[in-house]
Amino acid sequence: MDRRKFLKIASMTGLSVVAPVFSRPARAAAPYAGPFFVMISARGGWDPTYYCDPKPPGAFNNGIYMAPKAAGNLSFAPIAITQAGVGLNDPLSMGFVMSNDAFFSKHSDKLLVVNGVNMETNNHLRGVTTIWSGRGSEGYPSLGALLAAAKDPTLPLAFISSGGYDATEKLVPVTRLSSVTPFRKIAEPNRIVPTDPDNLARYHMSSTFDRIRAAQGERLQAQVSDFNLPTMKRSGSALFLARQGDDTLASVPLPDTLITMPTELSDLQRMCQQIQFALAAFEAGLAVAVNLELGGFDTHGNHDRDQVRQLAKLNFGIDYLISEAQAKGLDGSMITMVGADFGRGKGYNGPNPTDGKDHWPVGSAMFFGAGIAGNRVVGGTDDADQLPLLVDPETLELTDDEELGVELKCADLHVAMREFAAIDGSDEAGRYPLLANELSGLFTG
Amino acid sequence: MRRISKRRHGGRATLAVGAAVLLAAAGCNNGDDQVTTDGGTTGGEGTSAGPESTGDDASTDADTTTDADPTGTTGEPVECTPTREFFVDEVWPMMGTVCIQCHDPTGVAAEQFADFLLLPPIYPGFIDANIENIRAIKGYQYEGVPLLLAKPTGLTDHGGGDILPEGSAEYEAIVEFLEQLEAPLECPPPDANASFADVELLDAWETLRKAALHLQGRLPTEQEYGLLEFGGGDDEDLEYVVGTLLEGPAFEDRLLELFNDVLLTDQFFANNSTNRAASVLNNNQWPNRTPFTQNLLMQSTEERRRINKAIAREPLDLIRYIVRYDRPFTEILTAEYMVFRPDTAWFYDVDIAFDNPNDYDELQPGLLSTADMPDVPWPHAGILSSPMWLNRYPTTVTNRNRHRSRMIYQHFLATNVLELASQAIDPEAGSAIFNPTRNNPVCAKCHRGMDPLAGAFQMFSESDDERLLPEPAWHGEMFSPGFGTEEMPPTEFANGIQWLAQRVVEDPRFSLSIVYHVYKGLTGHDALKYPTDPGAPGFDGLVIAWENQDAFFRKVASDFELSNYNLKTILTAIVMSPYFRARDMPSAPSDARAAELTDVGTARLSTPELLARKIYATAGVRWDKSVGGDEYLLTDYLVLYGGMDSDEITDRLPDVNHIMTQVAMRMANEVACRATSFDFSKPQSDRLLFPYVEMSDTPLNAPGAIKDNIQHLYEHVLGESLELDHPDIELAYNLFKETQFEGAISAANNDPDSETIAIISTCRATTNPNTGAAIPAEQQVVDDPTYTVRAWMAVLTYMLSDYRFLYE
Repeated sequence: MDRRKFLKIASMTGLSVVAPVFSRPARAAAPYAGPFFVMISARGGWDPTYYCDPKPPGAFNNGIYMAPKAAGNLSFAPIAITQAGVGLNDPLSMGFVMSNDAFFSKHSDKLLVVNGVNMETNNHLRGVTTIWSGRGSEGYPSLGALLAAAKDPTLPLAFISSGGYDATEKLVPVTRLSSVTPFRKIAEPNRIVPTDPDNLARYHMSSTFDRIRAAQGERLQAQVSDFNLPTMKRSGSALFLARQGDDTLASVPLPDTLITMPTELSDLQRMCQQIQFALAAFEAGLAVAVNLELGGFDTHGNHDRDQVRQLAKLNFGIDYLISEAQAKGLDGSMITMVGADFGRGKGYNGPNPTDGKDHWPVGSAMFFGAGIAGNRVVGGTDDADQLPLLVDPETLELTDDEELGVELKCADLHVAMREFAAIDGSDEAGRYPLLANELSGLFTG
Repeated sequence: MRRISKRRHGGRATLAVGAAVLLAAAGCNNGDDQVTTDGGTTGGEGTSAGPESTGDDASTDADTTTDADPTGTTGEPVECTPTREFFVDEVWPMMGTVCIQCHDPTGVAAEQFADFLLLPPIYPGFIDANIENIRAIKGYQYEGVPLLLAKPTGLTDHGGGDILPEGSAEYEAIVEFLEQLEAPLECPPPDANASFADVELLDAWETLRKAALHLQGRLPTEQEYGLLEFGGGDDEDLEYVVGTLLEGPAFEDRLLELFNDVLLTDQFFANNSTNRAASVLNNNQWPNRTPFTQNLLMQSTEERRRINKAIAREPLDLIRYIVRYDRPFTEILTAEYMVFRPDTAWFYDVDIAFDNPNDYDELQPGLLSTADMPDVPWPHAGILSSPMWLNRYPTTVTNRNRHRSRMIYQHFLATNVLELASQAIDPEAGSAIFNPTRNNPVCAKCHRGMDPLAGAFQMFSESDDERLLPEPAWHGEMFSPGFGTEEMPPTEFANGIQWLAQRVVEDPRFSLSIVYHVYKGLTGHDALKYPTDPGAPGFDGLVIAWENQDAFFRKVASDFELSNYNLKTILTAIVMSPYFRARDMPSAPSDARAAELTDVGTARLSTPELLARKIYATAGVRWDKSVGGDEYLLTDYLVLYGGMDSDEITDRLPDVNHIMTQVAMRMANEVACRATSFDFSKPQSDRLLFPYVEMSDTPLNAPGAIKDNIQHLYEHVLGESLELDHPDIELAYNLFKETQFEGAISAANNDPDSETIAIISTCRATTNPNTGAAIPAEQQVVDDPTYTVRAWMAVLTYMLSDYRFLYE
């Protein structure tokens, strides 16, 4: 029985009531061609005033930069990176960090920066929930999961997550990836040594293996049909659906080796390795969305050292994503969102150089990729209090008109992204409505 | 039908009091007798009557029983709806959505010192706490009308306005509820099974199999099955046999796995590290640290891993010790000792007499001390003073132990403090407030509860996690150290965590939190959260699901306390419950009933650890990378199969994905390859898998034996007892028959691409896969002239990748 027939039977048995997973459409025959979505979380809460929402000299920095610098229409914090200044010990590490200057100079033409986003919270849990689901309360899927569910949830690797807020509300399973050799072995489970192209030995004859799978499928269908307990029905159905596409993983063009870095950059190494997996999955047309995460931004102490170091790592990671995507020809079909729990500030929590910055309920987000008009900044914060400025929702320009202007919120960004990604009319998006301001042409300019 | 009684159950009463303390802890109870609900004072205006009773009035909480006729006055059975349930069903829906907007502990009413406060559902026991709070103020009146009705109807001033029409259903529900509070109806705790009358449970034998795999990582022994047979397999017998599973090294390892999912301290020996646990410790306190981490002692890698693991597992060893010797589980926080192995006694330089110093697994209690401050006693408080726990949940000079406070709430009080921030905040509101964590209501919402617990750790450095200080030091601008409404006396600061631990374990949420942890460990499900969205599909059913589960948990927590906090009480209760045993229903439930049965049942996807043990228990071989080496599911495939490493990945995937099915398929192939020929290499009477057939048995000459063996495999591998004429027997038989037939013909062809007589080398039985020892030549299985070994491999692969094998 194919998936479409199974879904039909499932629907007839009222399965969708207890198993939303069965409300999925039948799987498309062709590999998914995009758009692909990448969500990058700067976990812990980044400091936009040290990044894409710089401020004049004052209480917001200890003189770590003197004045904002421009790259095209973007303004950024020109913070110099030194090995000692960011607390790195291994000289080789400097090859894996990137200054704001280098990053924005190289990529400003692609970037849409949204500043002055009222996150409405300074609580980590609510913060990550807000930035990645569009509302502060739990119960909504993360944007990556929603996009994967609306685009093609039947893909074997539809939603890959390496951490962060990855709630799915059971719209689509979460997949985790780790290392290359095990992946290759499970991609061809019947080959004894799949890592050796010359060794074609198999555990079972191909016909036997097909026979095993047929028997396996026949029994599982009967089991699921016989199950009445909702948990049994749900789990059996999930197993049935997860088994589809048995031979597709071998088409994932994994690199022979994954990028490695000095031990002190293990977090960035993991992020970049996950980028390698994600891009390979995109290239094979087996995934829609991926969550990436870089932690270490919760700099209540040693802000000027640790926040700057993490931003420099983040710059490298984003640059790596862009360059790798370009090399694979995926940059024209990939859309990326970068965000954090909230911002930091305002100012420091103490007078010493080793003091930090606490949580601040105003943040920023960055977007780039296919169809997004770059070299633009929307929104902002005032220089005195780091509070959101109003935006004209029609022109997207800053305005003082309190009747006309709106304060940007995450729901606005999500609604705009849903529309831009053409999932706003989907059943999945309809199930999770957001109350938002309509921002005309936020992504297209 | 429940019996009508006024008797209050101890656990429930305690719960209410404990949670009520939390209400006051939130700073919402000003302690005087004036009654305000919106900040306006009415109690002193002469229009309000004083309270008829206080919240602790023995007359309302008395241990008296109303001998109401359980059959009613007519002799007919009557439904007993306890007052608590009436509140949940009829009153809370309105209070929990409307009133709570201002009257939660951080709401507008609370800021104005209102006495009418409502805990939101993130607090365990919020229902009981709210009932107690309403009971305490029910006597307040305005012109003879209870204030609880007079205010929202606009009879007197109410900051929230006129929101409750007199005579509405909600109004009448409050009227009735207040009347019931005069003589609350209480019914015996519902039988956990009563709510699941239409659900089929695993029978005693099936439950025993599942429990043995879960708790011991093996199949039941003949003796254990015999005990059930002898008694007829009733629940009493089953409970007894389950009790016998709760001891021994395998059980203890499973227990530690379960609690590591909570504590995550295995982070310190992730990837078989030789020194990660030791390296986080301070050398001045324990001078063996640096020689060990730098391997100046020239220890072998194996020895260093063992020592490092012993250091890392010190907090979990405390749990092992407590459970092994049936000590009160409260000692996980109150133990004024630490548990050492010979390795950790050496590392920490603690003088302890071991029965056998060469037994690296021996546990002995002892007292920790530091080399640089030997006169400052280590403030032992179970896990809270564990050097590993202190490092797993580190602090900084600006975090000031709040991280640890949050984890105490989360791990031992079943409360996620971060969920307190339930409302959006205005950035401008707090931008100019001095000392915002205390003075800005938005920040104080969480910090009021969090900071007092943080103050208990003031004997530890904020820049070096487990570093003991010579004397306590704290921050005057923070909320004072304490717990609930009780402030910690300064004389206790040096022993702050001991003072705190005692109060945490006395809080009823402690017992509930342990029930929650064990429940999740055994079922894979989190405890249900109270549904808060009345518009959600199946809302009523979800409320019932929560009510049933909440009642069950409270009963188990109460029994846990009555057993002097014996953890095995909880383990047994959950294994015996429908949450562990529900196997199916005779017919499809309605949508409403399906919602009520959320998370009930046996459909748990096995974790990598559970699956690894099940493979060995059933197939007789491990899926390991080398003989006796690392198991694939615990290393290469740990993350891919949805597991966690306690380090970068700290939660398990609850739902299967495509990658996981591929891992399962690879496992089934590799294990069947190893196990089939190995099993055939044994004498028939010693075989686990193929006791009814010989390699020469084919469908042509022994179809009956083959079917008998397939029947055995279903029973042995999957736990299913099938009749020989069951379609699934035929399904597996056809798989065998067609594979054997095709393979035998192919092998006979002798073409270059055809099968051969000889089994591929990987799948031959020449050595024992578990020991590496050579199998005697005459027993080796190398050739398979009839192709039956490989046909059985196909059947075993099919079994090992079956739903029933992957799920429990």
